[in-house]
Amino acid sequence: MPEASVLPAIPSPPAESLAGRSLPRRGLERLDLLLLAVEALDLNSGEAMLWMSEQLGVSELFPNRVELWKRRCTNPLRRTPSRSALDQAESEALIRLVCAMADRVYPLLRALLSSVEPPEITNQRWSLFQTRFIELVRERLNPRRGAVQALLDPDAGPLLHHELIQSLALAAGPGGVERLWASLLDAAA
Amino acid sequence: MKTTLRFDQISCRLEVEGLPDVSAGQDPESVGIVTGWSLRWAGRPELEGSKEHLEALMTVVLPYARHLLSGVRRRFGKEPEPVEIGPHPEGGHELLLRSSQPDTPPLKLKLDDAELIDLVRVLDQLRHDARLRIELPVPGSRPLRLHERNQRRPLARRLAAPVGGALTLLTSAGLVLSLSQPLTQLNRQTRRASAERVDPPARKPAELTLRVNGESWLEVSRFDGTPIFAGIGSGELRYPLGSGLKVRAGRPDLVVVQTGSGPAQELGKITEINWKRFEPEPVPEPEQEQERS
Repeated sequence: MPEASVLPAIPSPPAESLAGRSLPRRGLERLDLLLLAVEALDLNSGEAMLWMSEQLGVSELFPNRVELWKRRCTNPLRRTPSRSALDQAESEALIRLVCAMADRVYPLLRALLSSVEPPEITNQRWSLFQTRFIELVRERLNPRRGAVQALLDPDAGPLLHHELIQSLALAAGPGGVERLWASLLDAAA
Repeated sequence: MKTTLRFDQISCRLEVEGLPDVSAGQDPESVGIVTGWSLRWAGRPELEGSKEHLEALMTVVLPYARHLLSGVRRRFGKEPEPVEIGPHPEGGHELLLRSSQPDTPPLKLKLDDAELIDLVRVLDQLRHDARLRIELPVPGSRPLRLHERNQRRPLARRLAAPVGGALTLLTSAGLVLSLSQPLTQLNRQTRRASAERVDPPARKPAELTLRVNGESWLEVSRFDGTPIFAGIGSGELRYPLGSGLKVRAGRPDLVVVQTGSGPAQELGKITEINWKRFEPEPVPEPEQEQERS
């Protein structure tokens, strides 16, 4: 696989701490869940991801939806998970794609996280996001997995959805790639 | 010539003023010497400070954001550091700023998620701006270690698994012990009962007891003629009955004979000087023994 080129605006993470380390299982799960959250926020995100891949210079890795879907199927929570792991270039490209997509939907993320607006409007936004997100989770993820059940749980689910939106917001912007990459490599708790 | 770097987000604006370090050959648009900075918040007091204050702000806010991304909500910065940030007890985040002016109480700001992320974004923009030509002491993001990640879970939850495991182990051990005691007792009782049933009490081998009142010549032999005793007998003499004994005495009237637990009787009259045969008692059958027990 060719090395992924990057957007000049997004600096590379420090090689000594992050590069060269493959993503653990939890990291793969989280990466795909973040993209799923982006899809729930932006109905055109399927096309937008391919366009963004071109902008990031990683279209050789993700030339079409099928190739992107194959990489996302490394998430063990998928209904049909792929056994193959992401290589270094693919991991980096997918992280950059998540961050770029998060930057694209940042106004929506911010609106969800802000407490300035009336609570009714914020609740309506959350309700819309959660409805779409739960539909996507039911459609694509394995409901027998505990993590998937937690996402669909009416009590525990909203907190996890909030964490995902907060993570996307923190992953947006110039320092987001480095932050998200490091967090995906966290030791398993 | 003074240069101002400006970074805008919805809720805040960061402005950093400075000068290029001409001695280092920096271009006129860059900032190599920070002379001051200001942070304007919508509906909040404006913050101002020196380069050191800006560094202090970045040193706590960016690691806080990094930890938040891993779900770890912990406090960064402590007295007497000028900036502190941590989770607010009522939700959101608390930014605490200590003034270097004496008698000035610290300023506490409650930020929601959106405001915090706006602040993080302006600091990120500044950090990654190519025009800023100074080294900022902001640690790079790194994966959290297990003990750092564990801080996100309350102590009770972290201890739940090991304590639960230990309790289960103790309960199982107690259960096994409490079950094994009645079993052992039952086993003992069964063993005792079976021992009582199977092994009847050891029967003393039947004996022939001869009590000689005074002295008398005495001869004791087996049925086949094997001699056991022949001589003057006196007092009490005991011989295993075995398969049977025969006794002859010179003064049978002085000799009292008893076999096993049977009745004692004279060996005979003074005139009856002949062999008297003593058969062993018949051994009871096991069925009879069981019935008896």
